[in-house]
Amino acid sequence: MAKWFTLILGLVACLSANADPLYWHDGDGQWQLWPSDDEIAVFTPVPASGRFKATDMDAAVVKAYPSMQIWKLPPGAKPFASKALQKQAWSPVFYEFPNKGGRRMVPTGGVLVRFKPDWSRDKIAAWLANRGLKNMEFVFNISHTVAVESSAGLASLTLANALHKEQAVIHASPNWWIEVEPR
Amino acid sequence: MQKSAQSSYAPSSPITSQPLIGTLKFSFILLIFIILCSACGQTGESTDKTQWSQSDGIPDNEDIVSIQIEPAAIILKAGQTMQFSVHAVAKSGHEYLNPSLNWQVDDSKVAALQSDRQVYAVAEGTATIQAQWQGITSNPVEVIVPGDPMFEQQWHLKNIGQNGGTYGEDINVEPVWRGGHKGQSVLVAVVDDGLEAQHADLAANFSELSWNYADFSNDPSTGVHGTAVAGLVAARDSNGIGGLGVAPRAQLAGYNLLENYSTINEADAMLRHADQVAVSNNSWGAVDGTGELFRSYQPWREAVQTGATQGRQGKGVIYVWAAGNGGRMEIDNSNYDGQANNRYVMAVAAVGDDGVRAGYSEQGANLWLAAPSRGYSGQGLLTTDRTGERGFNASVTHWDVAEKDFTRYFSGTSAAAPVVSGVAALVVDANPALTWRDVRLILARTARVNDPNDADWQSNQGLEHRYPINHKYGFGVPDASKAVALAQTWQPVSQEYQYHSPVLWAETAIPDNDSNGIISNLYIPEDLVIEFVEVVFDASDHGNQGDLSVSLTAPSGTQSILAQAHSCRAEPCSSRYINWVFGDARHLGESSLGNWQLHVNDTRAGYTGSLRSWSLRVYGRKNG
Repeated sequence: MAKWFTLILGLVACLSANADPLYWHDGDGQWQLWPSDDEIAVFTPVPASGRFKATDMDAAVVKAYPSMQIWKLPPGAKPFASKALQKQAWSPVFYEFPNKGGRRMVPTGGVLVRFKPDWSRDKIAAWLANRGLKNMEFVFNISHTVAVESSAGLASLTLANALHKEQAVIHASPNWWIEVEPR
Repeated sequence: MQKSAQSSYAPSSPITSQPLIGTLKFSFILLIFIILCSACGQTGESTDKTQWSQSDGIPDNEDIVSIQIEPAAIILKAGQTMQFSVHAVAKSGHEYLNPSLNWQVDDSKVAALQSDRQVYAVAEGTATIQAQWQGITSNPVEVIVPGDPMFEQQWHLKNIGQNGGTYGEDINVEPVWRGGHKGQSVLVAVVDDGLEAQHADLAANFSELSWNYADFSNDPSTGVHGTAVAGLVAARDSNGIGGLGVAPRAQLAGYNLLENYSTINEADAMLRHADQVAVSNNSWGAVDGTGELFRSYQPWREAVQTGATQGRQGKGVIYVWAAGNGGRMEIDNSNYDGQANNRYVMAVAAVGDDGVRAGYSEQGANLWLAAPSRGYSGQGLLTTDRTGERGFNASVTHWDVAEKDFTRYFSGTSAAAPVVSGVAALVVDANPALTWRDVRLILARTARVNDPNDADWQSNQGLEHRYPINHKYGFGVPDASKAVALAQTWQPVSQEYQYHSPVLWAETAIPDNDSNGIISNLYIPEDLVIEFVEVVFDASDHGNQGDLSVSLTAPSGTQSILAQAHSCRAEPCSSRYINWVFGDARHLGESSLGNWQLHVNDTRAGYTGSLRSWSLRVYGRKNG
């Protein structure tokens, strides 16, 4: 897992320095992500005040969904450095298009992995186990595809991109939360 | 056969009449009957058959050869009286309109004869009524006393002009129920924000196969929206509560995906119990009203493909999708939504109680059907609502119905989609062997042309049937009665074939601010009878996708508008046409063979770009 941790640190650096573009893979396609510089997603329940206050962070809930909330950060906030946020389950917020265009996207934890069609279930399980990865328990049933456990946030994106490069894997993508709504 | 000049059903001679003495005698008998009937009700006794003998009107020397009876209404509320009309034909050729006959009701607990030709609804249930004369028995008529007191407000089921609606602008479902098809044994998944399991009008149809994505239980009683959706599919009939769903005996599996949405859960919701789910209703989707292109994701695409091709023991899950509510100012087109335009779903637009497109309902070449919802009149659909104060209808919504467990303002393409899901459930009930492709074809073939004066209606060049098509309405509004009738005689379609054209690298600049635009041609050498067409379109270097209009013309000459110049919520639009997949339903039944033409133009000055590439994917069956 040390490899994943190093990659996460690298991604944090990317986000902080606004350096190289971020990508993820949807099937065979590679898609760029645009991180929000003033929003984060928090998976713990909304504070009654609708506001999160700490000495190093003062954020307001701008949109609450059943499974998480989008918090607006004050200018200059450094969420990765926030001690207060270390106690929360949270993730950066990404957009599909530049300039906060398109839908918000948040890696909620878990990676969807498609293995080669000639790989048996046992072989997939052994391969995952060798890498310290666990299968999520799901009824989900698409052939040679498994959901692998990971933390929410960057860990999920990092793991997905790393797995996508593996010989045994056809494609791997983070388990995204995306803005959808009833019609 | 002799006919009266006054009426085709009037007897030529003699004319039946009811003399005064007869009326008095009749009233006395009626009084006795009512007394007997009320005594019956008090003691709880009932008889299997009630007989009413009135033989005035047909001379004894007439040989009756046929008797047809027709009810004024099939569905009656308890306490209502309904009159039959009668048409008797004698061997002599004489016809008798409404002669007195012998009548019988097969269940006097449900309905009783009040007087000649008049039936009184006693309590909920179904009763079969027939008339007899000289050993000749009429056609049987099933009268339903649904015990659904709000049925008369459900104009989408039976539009008799309630609150100014247009008579007949409904889905013509009553004959289906009368024929015994109510969705029994059909499992419908309602993928939404929840479904209240214990709702009095849903509980009887609630399936334990439901799933809660937030707490991993079988009780998805969360949210508000999904409970209203579920009621339109399958609120229970004949239970003395509320209204009823289109398929009121179908089983409802609620999957509250929106309570814990993720791409894995989304794919799971498409496939959960896919071996048993016949219809999957999806009244949700990407955010509407932005003008952006929102593609679908691979896990979802694979899931609906798997569900449609392998689900329901290989017959396929029928996915129904709300077309989208971003149609005002033509900002959104349903074809900008990568789920609603997928070939494995049926996208459903919304029409009001006048049959005219609701202003919010998105247009699109991908639309399959349109269905009732809230339109210009403001009259929404009556359906189930979260109980008490938890729903749309709370104490503050004094304009809604008094019963807080129901609402009559449910709207959006969210409301239209479950109406179609209910009809699909009835079709599967009528013929469980049908595949997902069969059901789509049946619904398209039997749809009714609504809003007939709309200028966009045209007929395509289908080989066996010329389908009426409209960018606002798809093939029209479903006619449940015709769909179920066709389902019962339908011959399954043959194996599906696909043709994917090579990618045409056009690399042609699109002239800016020029309505002529560019035309690109692509020849398809395969002769398939088309069931769906996909256009893979790339103009990824164009600075504003909202500037572009894209249309496709088939070898038949049928044209489809795939995109129109439009504004985005934030200008310029953020999204780009990067191998965007348009869906096109409008060539259903046409031949794929020949030259296809893509027309692209940019009618707004400023941003520029090129048509980089495009290709076609045609799905259908071999011609001949």
